[in-house]
Amino acid sequence: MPLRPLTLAWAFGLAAAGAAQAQDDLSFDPAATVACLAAGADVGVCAGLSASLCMDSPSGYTTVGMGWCLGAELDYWDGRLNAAYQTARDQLQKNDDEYWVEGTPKQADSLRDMQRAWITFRDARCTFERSFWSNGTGGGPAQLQCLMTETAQQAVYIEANSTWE
Amino acid sequence: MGVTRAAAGILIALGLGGPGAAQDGLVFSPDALVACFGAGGEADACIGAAAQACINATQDGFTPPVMVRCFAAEQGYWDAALTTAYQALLDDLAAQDAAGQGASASGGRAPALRKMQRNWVAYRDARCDYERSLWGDGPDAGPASAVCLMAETARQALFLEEQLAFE
Repeated sequence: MPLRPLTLAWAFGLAAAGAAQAQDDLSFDPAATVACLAAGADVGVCAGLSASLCMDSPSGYTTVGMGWCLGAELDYWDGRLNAAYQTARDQLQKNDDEYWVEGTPKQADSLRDMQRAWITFRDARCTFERSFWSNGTGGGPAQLQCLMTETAQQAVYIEANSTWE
Repeated sequence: MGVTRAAAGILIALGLGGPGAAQDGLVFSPDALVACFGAGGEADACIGAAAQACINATQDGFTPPVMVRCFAAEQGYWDAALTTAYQALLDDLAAQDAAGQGASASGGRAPALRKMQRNWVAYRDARCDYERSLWGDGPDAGPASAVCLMAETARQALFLEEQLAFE
């Protein structure tokens, strides 16, 4: 039976749970993720690399440390997603102004509706993933890992679409 | 995974799991998909292989109406795989909930699966409407929507199968 993702990391977390005080020795830098994407690798491979490097320190494998590192990469991808969304929205609004044909859906509205549905889906999917960590504190990192991964996928998807408008 | 793909392929070949070959001249078979996964291909490389073969083999395949039907035929394959995986997973998780394993702040595993799946359907449809909108009223709008529905259904089916493999 394959192990669910994070199971090993969480075993580390359990062992070190007592030392989960500050994250003084933690730092986050998205450079590894950026370099991975620049090398042409898939976002599924690249998302989370920087968080893993961040965790590679004494307090990194505590629940608090994992949460901090995953949260930092989630913030990074959230920033990219917001920027990509704004760029795409502005471009699609222009398309609608210039080319919209009666009877067809407006592109900017379609983007907005998709993004709203995506947020609802992402949250439900990550709650689902968290549900496998019934009573353990591993649920927090599992949910964050899911949010980070899903946000990364969506950011890259919208970035790609807004380059060929 | 390979076993599941092969099994689903057999079901469809027997006409039990989805659209069979030669509906209105459509030449569809899941063989290319089964072969791609069987050879260890990545999901992104394999999804669409049967639709592509259908487009190549069907008369006037490279026209939007036939493309739409070929994509829809492969979507039917993935829909069947998704339904099978979803039902098996739901049964497993409901049993875990009944045994108290899923009792938590999240409200149980089976309800979480149901909610995710419902929200996924809404997201898939909104995403594919968006893809369609990018083509305005052009001839590619239909295929763009159809290929999106096929690919998203495939990804979700594979995700659910992966979850099932953890059980």
